[in-house]
Amino acid sequence: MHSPGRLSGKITQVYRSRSLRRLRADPASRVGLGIIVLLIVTTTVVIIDKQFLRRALITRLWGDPYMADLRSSLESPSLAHPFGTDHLGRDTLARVIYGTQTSVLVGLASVAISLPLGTVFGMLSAYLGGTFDEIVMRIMDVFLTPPANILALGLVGILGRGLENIILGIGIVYTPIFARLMRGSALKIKRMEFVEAATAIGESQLNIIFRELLPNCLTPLVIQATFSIALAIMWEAGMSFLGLGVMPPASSWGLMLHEGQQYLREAWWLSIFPGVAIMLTTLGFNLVGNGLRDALDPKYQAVQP
Amino acid sequence: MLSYIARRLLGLVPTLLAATALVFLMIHLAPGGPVEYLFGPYASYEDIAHAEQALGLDRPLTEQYIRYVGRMIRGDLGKSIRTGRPVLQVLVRRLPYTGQVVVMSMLFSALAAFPVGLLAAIKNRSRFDSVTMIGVLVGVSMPSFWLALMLILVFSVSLAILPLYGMPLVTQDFKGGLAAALLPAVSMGAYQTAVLCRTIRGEMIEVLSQGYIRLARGFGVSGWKIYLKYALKNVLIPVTTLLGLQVRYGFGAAAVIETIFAIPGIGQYLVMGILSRDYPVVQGTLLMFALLFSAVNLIVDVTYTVLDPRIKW
Repeated sequence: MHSPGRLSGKITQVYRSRSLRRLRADPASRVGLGIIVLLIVTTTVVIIDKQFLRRALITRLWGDPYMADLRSSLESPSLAHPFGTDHLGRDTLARVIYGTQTSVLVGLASVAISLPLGTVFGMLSAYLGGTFDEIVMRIMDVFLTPPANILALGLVGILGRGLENIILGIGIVYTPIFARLMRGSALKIKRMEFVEAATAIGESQLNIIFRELLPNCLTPLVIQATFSIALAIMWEAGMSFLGLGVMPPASSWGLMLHEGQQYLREAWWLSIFPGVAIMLTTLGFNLVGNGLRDALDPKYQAVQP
Repeated sequence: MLSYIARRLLGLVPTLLAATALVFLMIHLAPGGPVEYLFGPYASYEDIAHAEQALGLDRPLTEQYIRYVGRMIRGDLGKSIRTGRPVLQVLVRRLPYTGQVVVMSMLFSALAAFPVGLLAAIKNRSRFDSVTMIGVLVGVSMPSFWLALMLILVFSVSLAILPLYGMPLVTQDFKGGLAAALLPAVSMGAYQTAVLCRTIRGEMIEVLSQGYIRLARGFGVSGWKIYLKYALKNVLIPVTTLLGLQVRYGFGAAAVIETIFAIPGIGQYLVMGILSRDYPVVQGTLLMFALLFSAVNLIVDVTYTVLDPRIKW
């Protein structure tokens, strides 16, 4: 028998395509989208160069981002080294480019952990209600009490340093935020007529959850996820700056700033360019986040953890 | 009002218990537990067993937790493994330094965000408004520690007018303390200043479009009187929440900012504890943070009643 599912589907589709058109027309969002595309392209090229070409491409262009060459240490920006070189004579531009993958990885992975987890917890809480809801939400509240950046820092401090633990730490901190959001919108949607209609015509519970509730709850989650990527990138930089992130010679913008701080007097370029990279990256995600909010849900207030 | 405060203080107990449980579990369930945390992954079995016995870590987890809470109530947060000093004593000594920077950063945010946010709202859609909104976006996207480095580069290295590292307390050296707290406070507060500015602008625009403001205009009340006497009051409530959040955020940013400026506050203590795997320090500092946030939340809620007589408890 033909399943009647997705009573709400048609409306959602029309609404989405119109919103995306609005997003593409907004100049600020275009800049943001441009930055994100650039980040993704850079990351892809870096991964190919690193895994298959043994850094040949980047070495050819500006210099090896990992190998030290003490003859050219702390050179100021020039044509050969547009962003100068660091204390070990490595090209700063090459290291900034290689640092992109660290930031993008942390931003995407931490949200990739927390978004599904939070969605599941939030959806089940809203749908089942009762004791389950009570217990899950009390646990989430405990995680939401301290400011998220201190909690993430504490988690990494306890789990130990390293990129995986930073991703895990930020992922854990983000989960309750997504869970609360999901629960909130699911509770609201649950009371709407089309859900009632779906129940009345005998749709299965799974169908109601996945085909009626979930697609209609995604808007705030998508907006929050965009802002969360920006924040995760900023936190990773902060923790790497404190020496808790990737180990040298791997490259991360935060770690570069940490190394650059010791040469603040002699080599200003070491402290400027990685910071600009962090700022542009977060700016890109924030611009797209703003655009998404304006296009999809102007009343939505991003959760500031 | 007093009974409300009493009720809230009582409500702190479960929150803090939950926080201790969270911190306790995080450390004890981490791979390897506290002893491996102490000795690193290469310790011998005998060493680990010996240390576990000595520290009471071979007892059941619930028993350990109860003991831990018992000690905590008596004000004993344990001793630093690295230095042997009692954690609580060190925290109390370090707290004023963090407090000084956080209070300064709040003052900075309020002083910067109010005039700019209000003016942007009053001159909505003007050039000033657009520049403000771009500034807000940049402020939200700029990591505080990078801003700190840039400020040091300009004011301490190039111009050499502000101190590079360290900070005396204002009680010891008023002028020196203020000067040294300036850069840390600005870098700590920049993010929140941007958020505050955006909120003030948004709220003000909404308030200004309301009927009672138009009525006041109709009665011929002058512009500034409307803005400052009638509109501002209704902007203050969301802004108070945000200022509360700002304190939380400030304590959060303290870790990295204090490390950069070599300020002996509790944020720097946490980072030192993490880097040297000194778990009593990490545990104690995180609890101190939890206590501070709860206190701030309480203060924010009480402030509401003062600002908005419609809210009754």
